[in-house]
Amino acid sequence: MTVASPTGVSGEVLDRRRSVDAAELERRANWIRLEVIRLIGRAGLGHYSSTFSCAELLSVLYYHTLRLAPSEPQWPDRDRFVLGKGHVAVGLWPILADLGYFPEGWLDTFGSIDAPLTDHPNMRTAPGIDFSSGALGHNLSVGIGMALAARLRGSDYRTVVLTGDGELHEGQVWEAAMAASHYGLGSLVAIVDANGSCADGPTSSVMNIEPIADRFRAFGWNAIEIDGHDVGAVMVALDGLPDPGSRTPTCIVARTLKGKGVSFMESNPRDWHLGFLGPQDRDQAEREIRSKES
Amino acid sequence: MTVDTGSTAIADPFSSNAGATEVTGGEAIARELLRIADTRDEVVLVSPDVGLSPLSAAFVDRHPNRYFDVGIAENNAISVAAGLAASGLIPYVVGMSAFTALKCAEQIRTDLAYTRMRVRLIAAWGGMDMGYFGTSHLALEDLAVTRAIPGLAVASVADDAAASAVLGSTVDLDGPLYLRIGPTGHAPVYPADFSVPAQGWTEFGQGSDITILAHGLGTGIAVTAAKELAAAGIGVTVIDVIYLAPFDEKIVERALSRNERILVVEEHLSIGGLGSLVSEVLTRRRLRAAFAAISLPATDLATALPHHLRERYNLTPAGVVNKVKELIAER
Repeated sequence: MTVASPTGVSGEVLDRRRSVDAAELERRANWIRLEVIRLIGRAGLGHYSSTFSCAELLSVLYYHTLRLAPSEPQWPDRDRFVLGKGHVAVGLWPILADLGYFPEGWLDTFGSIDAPLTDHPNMRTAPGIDFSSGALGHNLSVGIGMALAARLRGSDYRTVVLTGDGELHEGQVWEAAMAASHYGLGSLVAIVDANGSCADGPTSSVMNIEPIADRFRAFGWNAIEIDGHDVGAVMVALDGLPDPGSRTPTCIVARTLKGKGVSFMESNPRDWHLGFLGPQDRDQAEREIRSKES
Repeated sequence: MTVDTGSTAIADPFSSNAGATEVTGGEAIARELLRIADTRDEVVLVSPDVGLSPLSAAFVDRHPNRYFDVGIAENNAISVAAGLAASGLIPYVVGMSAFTALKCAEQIRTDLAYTRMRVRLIAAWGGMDMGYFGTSHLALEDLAVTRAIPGLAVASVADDAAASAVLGSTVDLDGPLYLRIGPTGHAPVYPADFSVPAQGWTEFGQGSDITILAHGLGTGIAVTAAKELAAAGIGVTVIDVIYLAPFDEKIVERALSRNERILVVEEHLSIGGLGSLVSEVLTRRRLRAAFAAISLPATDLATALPHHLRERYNLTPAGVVNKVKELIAER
């Protein structure tokens, strides 16, 4: 839908709360999983399971929630999306290509040397990336800066930061959490992809971070918990975000499964953090994901 | 009616001028920062709890809505500045050199340099300025770290006028800047209207017995020493290396064109600062030189008021004079 926007974007603006049903967004999420398998298949190495845990989140954000202008990736009033858990960039690439940020052909070079689409997002090479990431713990701070800028500039754009749950170990996340409520940043949203798993094992055994929502509340945030694979619940949570001009930041703790959609990844999250699917495993994975489509 | 209790409040809690007769300083820098903010409304200030010091108090006073104190959270300060810069603003971050450069090296590299964000880091209270507080507050490795971050411009200034000049000329620098400022209130080296030459360095004198390459505090010391040495018949040229990155290698060529004696004077560890930089150039280009340096040794360092520390480690005009005479006597 093309609408006249305050700053006169010449191309299409994708509005917030785009009209789309949950079933379609679920199909999109599974499409993202299949695309991730396809892209990593070409590249030779990738982060499947961390991307599978947030496929529904990415689907709802990009196909329903965020206000975007793919023809103008630098449009000042766009909603910002910062991928704190940068290792799931492979899940963003098919979405951004599909929405028109760059040619579909770029997907074919994912992972090769000098390619613009890399394992972690690089804002200097990939249109549609609001900030580079990879170093866990930095991006909530980056989001603070973006939200402060929105207020200063009088814009109502939102800033959404997707973090991992292991990422919450990083002290800098809490420096940012402190600052978000101190500055009353109602336009800032932190979504924690709480898939319960980090490199050394279950997050709660390696270094306990529970109760996540209570910890954010203690830092002055509003926090809710949802099933991160229930598209309907994700839509309700994101549709219910407060007005960007309000004074309390929001944390959505999305309970998810690392490797969701592929049985052998779900049961062995550590093994599949970084890897490569051989032909048989790939077949099985794709069959399982496709079988979810009704 | 006030009662004289004999106490002394110090306006700048981190001032190295404690005990000195002149307790003001940094006014030129504060004025320039304010001027920049007044003329460019994209300019904002971030600080980890040191924004209200004399360096930036005027900025905060006049533009409170453009000042973001993040409290004693330096890592957050850098990445917040990155987010502000990514949103079209030009952030200045005022912080203590030690914590800016060391604690935040990764944030600077990954969030500012790799991304080419237009953030200006004003690294103050560095070198041995806070030596009274103990070794935790020394910043003698900052250039070793910041030089190793490609894409980060690194400048070290000899006085307030030079600091203002660098600030004024880098508002629109297309990438991040690390600006190491010296102790405020030190004797000036440059006139108030100084502007940084395009090459990023300046030259004092034409002496051909030795060239001193210096930056920051080292430059002022060297310039003073050069006068005394001239009176003793020793010809000294002093080159003030304002920009260590990007570094103009003509500096080294110029020095060697007069004499192969090069003395580096810097308030930095002997590892990784200007001394190392010059050594890298000499070696890579296979240039012949008689190299020496006055810098901080890589050992346990003392704790005292800065001027006592500088005496201990020969970072004084007398220290430079003695060293030069020693070097001249070698041949």
